[in-house]
Amino acid sequence: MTISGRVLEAGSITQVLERSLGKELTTCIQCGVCSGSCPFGQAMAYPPQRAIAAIKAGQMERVLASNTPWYCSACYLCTARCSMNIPVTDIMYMLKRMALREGHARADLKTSNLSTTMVDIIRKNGRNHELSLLVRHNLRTNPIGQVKMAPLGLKLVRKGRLPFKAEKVEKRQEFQAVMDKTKSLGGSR
Amino acid sequence: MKYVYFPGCTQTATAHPYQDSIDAVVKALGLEFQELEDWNCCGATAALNVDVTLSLVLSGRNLAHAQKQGGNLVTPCSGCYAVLRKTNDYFHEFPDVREKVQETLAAGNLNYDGSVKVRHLLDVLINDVGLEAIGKAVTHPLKGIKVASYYGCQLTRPAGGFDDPEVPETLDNLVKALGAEPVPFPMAAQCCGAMLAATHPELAYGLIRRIFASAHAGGAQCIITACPLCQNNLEFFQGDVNAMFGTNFKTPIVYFTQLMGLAMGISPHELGLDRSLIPTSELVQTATSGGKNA
Repeated sequence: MTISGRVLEAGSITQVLERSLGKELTTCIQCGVCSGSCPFGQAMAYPPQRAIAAIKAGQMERVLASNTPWYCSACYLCTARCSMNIPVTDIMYMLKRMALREGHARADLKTSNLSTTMVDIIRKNGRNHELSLLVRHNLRTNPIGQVKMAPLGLKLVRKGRLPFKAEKVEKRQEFQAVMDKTKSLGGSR
Repeated sequence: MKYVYFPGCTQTATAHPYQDSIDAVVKALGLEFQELEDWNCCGATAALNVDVTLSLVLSGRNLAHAQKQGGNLVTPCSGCYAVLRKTNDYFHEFPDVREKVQETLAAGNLNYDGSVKVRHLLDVLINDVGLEAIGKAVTHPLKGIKVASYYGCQLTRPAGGFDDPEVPETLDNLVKALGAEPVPFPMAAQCCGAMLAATHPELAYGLIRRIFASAHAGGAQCIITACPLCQNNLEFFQGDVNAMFGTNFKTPIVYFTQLMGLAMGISPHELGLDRSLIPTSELVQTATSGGKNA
């Protein structure tokens, strides 16, 4: 499916979703309720309303290369309030994924690194491990500043809220078989 | 009714206090929660940010296991709740997605037919147990305690179904049933910043400050939450928010099940209250004194 000449997400399952999302984008009347509701809209280069306008005008690259997708916290206010029932949050998720696939990740947009790091941990163990996630993410994005976070980390460890041991699923073969099949169906990791 | 319990990854880590209180309250109410067999991480917003196929399949495996166990799938985490529901919704709305997810699960000899109902813990307590039964289990009414109920975002949006997406009231009704006083709190369902509190504090701390200010203006002595990430953001960064804005908030951030437990006469230790980073001793003292020190 294309919108204004631009193919949306690639990948097996995603093509089905993009068919629906692409159709819905065309109904946007640019009322701006989404941008007005967005908690991070003022910091975005293309707040939701403008992002959709850009996509419809064939200017998706600008949005993908900007901070817009990564400043979305998925609070769903836009989706709840949209006059045309467009799933704006799902579109933002799609833009994040497309930005990653098409090489637009930037070091200053740290949410992308936090997300990919978490996915790597899950992919390997089947469960997240908060301590590993924080350490690995901070080593990558803020190695020196990480020292400032140490007191908080230590407090949490003392309170039993940041275990050293990483949990894993027991049915490793089953889990990995499903994960490998996901990859073969167009999954990216 | 049988419940299959999906804890999510934070329950043995940052949300340990949440799990402590859930264990205690569920036992006291006589509910039967069976942990979901060999559950995996739901992927939360991270998987959706990276790969939607992965997100659907992570949920799919959990739902397939739940189908085998039989019963409603209950989760205490709003993030897990939103993602599991989303998978179910896509399953029902897009037959092609259903087909592909089933094909993927088959690689692990798993099967999911879309029949598992996904519920948030709060929904089960309010609607299955009921406020009347909860009221009857209260031995220490929290008289005089003013509570700001923070719902966060993914509990009621996009379509939680059991409460209003913008002006929810279930937590406030629960607070009343516990004998406490819910305060007016305009920021109750506004974003805490989610992941961005960790990655872009310069943006998210402003949101968190507004939440504290709104609760404070209503006279709240504590804020209750129903989501591990919200609790983390409001508790861990309260000091940093104070430093950035020159404020002096010292508001305990507790899980709604911890408040329930106090009203039900369960010890603060059993409820995981000593795991708090912000002192809750004043709150506990007021709670256990029957309002005498309010």
